[in-house]
Amino acid sequence: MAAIAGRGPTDSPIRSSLRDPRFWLLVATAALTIIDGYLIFVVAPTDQVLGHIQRIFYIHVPISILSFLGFLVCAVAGIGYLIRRGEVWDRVAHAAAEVGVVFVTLALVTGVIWARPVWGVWWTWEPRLTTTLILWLIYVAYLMIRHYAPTAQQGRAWSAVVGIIGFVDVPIVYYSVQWWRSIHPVQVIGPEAADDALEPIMARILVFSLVAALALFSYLLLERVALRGAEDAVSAIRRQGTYD
Amino acid sequence: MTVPPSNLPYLFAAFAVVWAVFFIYAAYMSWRRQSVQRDLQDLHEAIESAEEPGDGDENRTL
Repeated sequence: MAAIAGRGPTDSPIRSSLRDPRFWLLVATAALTIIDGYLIFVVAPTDQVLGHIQRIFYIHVPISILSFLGFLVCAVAGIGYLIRRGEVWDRVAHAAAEVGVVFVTLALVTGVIWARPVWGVWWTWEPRLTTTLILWLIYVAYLMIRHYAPTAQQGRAWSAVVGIIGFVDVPIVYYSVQWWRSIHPVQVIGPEAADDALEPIMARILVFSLVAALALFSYLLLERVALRGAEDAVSAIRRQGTYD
Repeated sequence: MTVPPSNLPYLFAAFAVVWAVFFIYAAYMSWRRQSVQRDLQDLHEAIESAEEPGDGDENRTL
């Protein structure tokens, strides 16, 4: 939006894109993703037990962590909205929930693809998978509430409450492998991860993958917030209906 | 030492799904933003043309 809204009368679309920080974030994301692909497929050692399938871990873990970040942003912005009732808080909360749902969906899908050759089943009702599925359902409900609430105002307030309460499931997902008997691998990152959970080279590549995924997450979040801003502007003019 | 299974189709499927979903989602948002931006520009032009003096119809519905 900024690229077009900030465009002067003689600006070309390319020139205005070059001034948009989101464009450069996208370029950085693409570069980091290409380097990350090289690290994952060429540099990372092949796991002696699991084989090549273990490389899924380099996208599965960062995607899962960034879905948590999305829901944290959603919860914080939801609190901000309930206190201040500002449109910007709601925009950020909505955008973060949607991007978070995309990330957690992919975390579930990559987990399922990993589970089939390693566990022999696509899905099992073990604690980590079950709590993650509950997390997915909570934030899909968040998006549905916004859509189906009687008024937009109610949709914003109700979804903010769901976004805040729903975040309680995030630490449950993280600690589920310790609290209950689970066949899911234990944490390799975060407060409960063991120091020697990973080979040093694997840990470094995982951190790089996390940075690349964070760049992508930031780009998608900023793009979604901008889109919501433009949609709100159109709705505001249309709500007016007539003008003098 | 046993050779670990390659499971390459699963590995390919996982990365293909992730990259395809992210690409489609980003492309959809970009397309949608351009569409909304065009709507916004049309509405602004409609308002400006209605505000011009002597335009006549001053109560047009957007």
